Amino acid sequence: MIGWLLDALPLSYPDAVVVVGTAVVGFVAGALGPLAVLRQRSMFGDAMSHGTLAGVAVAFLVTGAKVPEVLLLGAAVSAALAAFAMIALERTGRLRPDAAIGVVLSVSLTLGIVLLTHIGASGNSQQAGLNGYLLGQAAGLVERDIVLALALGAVALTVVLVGFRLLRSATFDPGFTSVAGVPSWAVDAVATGLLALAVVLGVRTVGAILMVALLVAPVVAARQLTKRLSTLVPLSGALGAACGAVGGVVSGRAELPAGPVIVLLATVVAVLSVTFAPRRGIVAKARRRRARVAG
Amino acid sequence: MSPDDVMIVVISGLLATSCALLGSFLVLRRQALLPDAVSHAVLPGIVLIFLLTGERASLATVLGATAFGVACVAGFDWLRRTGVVASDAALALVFPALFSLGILLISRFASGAHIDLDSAIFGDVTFAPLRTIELAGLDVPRSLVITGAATLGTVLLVVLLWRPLKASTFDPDFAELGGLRGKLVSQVLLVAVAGLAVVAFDSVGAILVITFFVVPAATARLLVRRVGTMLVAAVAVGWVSAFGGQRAAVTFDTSIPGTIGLTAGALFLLALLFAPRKGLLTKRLAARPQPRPR
Amino acid sequence: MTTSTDSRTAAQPPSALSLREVSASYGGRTVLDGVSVEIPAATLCAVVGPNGAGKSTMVKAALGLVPSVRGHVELLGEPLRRVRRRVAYVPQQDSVAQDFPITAIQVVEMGRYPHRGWLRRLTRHDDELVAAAMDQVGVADLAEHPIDELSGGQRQRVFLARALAQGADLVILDEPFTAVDARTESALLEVLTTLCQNGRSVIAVHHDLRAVLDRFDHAVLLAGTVLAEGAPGDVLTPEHLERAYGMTPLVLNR
Repeated sequence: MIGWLLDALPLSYPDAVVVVGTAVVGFVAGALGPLAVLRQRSMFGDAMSHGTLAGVAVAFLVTGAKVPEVLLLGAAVSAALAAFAMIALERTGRLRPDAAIGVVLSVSLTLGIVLLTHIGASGNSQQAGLNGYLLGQAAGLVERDIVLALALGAVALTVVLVGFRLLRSATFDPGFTSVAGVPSWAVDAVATGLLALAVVLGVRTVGAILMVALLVAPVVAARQLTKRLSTLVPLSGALGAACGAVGGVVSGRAELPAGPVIVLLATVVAVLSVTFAPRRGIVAKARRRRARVAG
Repeated sequence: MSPDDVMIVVISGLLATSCALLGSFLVLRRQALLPDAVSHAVLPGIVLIFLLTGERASLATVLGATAFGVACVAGFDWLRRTGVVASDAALALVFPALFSLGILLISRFASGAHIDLDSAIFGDVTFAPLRTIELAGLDVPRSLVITGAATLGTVLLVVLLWRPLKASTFDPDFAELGGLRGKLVSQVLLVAVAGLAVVAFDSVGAILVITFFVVPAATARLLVRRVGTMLVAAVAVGWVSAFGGQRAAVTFDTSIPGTIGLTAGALFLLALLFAPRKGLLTKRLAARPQPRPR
Repeated sequence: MTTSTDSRTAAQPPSALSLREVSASYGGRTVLDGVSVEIPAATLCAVVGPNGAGKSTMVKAALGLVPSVRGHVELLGEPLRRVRRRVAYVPQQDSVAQDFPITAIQVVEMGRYPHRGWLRRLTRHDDELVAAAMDQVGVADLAEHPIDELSGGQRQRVFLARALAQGADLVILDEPFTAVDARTESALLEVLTTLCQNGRSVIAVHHDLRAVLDRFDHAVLLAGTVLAEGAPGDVLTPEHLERAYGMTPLVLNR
């Protein structure tokens, strides 16, 4: 289905698969990232990606096989559960968001580790592949993964497009309660589900620990360049895709793991944008301040 | 319990003590996620020192790793202060970058070097009693000495800085104006967190670091009225988790750090439901009357 | 901030707060622009102005709590570093960690920390001052209550008690009466008035222009810069308010 694209790239077939795969994941994460960053829920993404481990382990225990789609389904379910646990803890009013995230993150990560240890102890030789979810294994991508990522990404982006106005009011207006009769919890649930999707797609490639950077860095970079959400979403997606593709090529050439390379690239882009962006950048602000003092 | 079992409980308990003391202040300052970030960010420090000296558990390692932990906090603070990046996004930007750097260093220069990522992340308190050093003619587990010293240091720090820590957490402007040096003390706290995270990382692994910093403190907050009692309760939750988790791990033959973490999580859940004043179910049983002004 | 070098005649008591050409910016935006005020000692002074006028920034700048402040500041006739213990500050409620586990009496005891530093124990004298302060604002019976279980009014009483326990000569309050019931507001103003009668100085950022006219001795009308300063009746004139707010607040039309 996407064979023509893979052939068209001036890369060997396995390299082309990795590059296209990381670019697609980068785009989806970048485009959905605003749902986390603009709602001050960046670290939500971190806890959710740590939460995927338990789901992967349970899915493996239940089916006894390493079918990527099944494992990803497990990851999605447990990431969503982690997210809802955090929202529920916050809503009780007993904990601040950061403490709620910290508690869920530690408990879900611990649960994942216990389950993985259990799988390891039961002598199942296939468990080595499961550890790849912690640190990511872009090199293990196959064409089928790309098709899956494209399909899920398309679904997610369609949801974003259809519900754009709702999401915009939910992201930019903290006091948002309901618009056009749609209750805030429903918007919250959809936004959280979309984030879970992005996290799950990324976990295979960059790993549970680094996934949060893929959600946050492109958004931070893009946010410096535009105020409009309708520009921010595609721009941040494009930045994510670019970092993914370039990182994929570089890591292939230099024989380095793809996840960390992509993450470092995205971080560099974000820091450059924070520093040098035309209007909101630190340098531009400092120059304006100096101009005002002088004048 | 075998002597090794006791040793594991003691090492975990000591570590829980120091993490709970500092973690309580972090939770109250809304910085509960800093230890998570710091414990990831120290990786490049550990690798660099290994590349330079060939050691992976020396004093130099602790210092190098702490430096990167502090760098993580400083970078986070700088990004936050620029006002263009929200504080949670700043954190999510800094620590993955440093962790990535660590992994790249390992895979480029130290791939054959037995910096075992799995043991660093999964924790190896299980083997802590086996790695001993000689102290005054006795073979003492290295982790016991290190965590003991760290705990002593943390207790001294909290006792010495009790008033400024308390005041600057509660009311930063008051602490600054009243000459209590609140800002300075906040920075000391963050450096201490970085150093402790490194020590803990080496002794019990990263997952227990995150758990010990956050979960006992969050549990204790549900139970108390005073910050002093909160610290005591957090330490107690830590010790109960260490003991209960170790026993459960032996019973079910599974990961010790894992069960210690899950025990802490279970204690949190109990407190959330049944805490005397703040429990979700307690409140349903008896609604407290509010005190009225005279 | 520079040290004062000018001499004064002995007969003239120093001002409670003296600002000369003070400017402050916040996130690249200039909030205060060349503010000069001279608030006399032993008065109950209100700082009023529309939202974003820089009221909070002005008192914080005076207390050294804002970075990047230019200009000259004197409190009680001295630079800040020499009068830290003699100046008490009651911050806006949202700058305090509301969920901090602490009881009312522990908050009031903090008022003695500036005198006792990091380590010296509180003396019996300190305990007496704490008890007296709590009694004066009517929260003695709430001593053991956690702060997060108190109402807005009760909490504000506790913070004022902390300032009293500190024994400060100058008390500065930032929006002390928001989320406070009318009875508490009246009771707190009573306490503040008594303080001024005893020679202490009080400066409060306030919204309620009616109350300022009725109960304060001195007023500063702020809108990025000082529009008027003096007796409340002379400051809160329709012309001044028109300039500050763009309209005359209805409450003043008599």
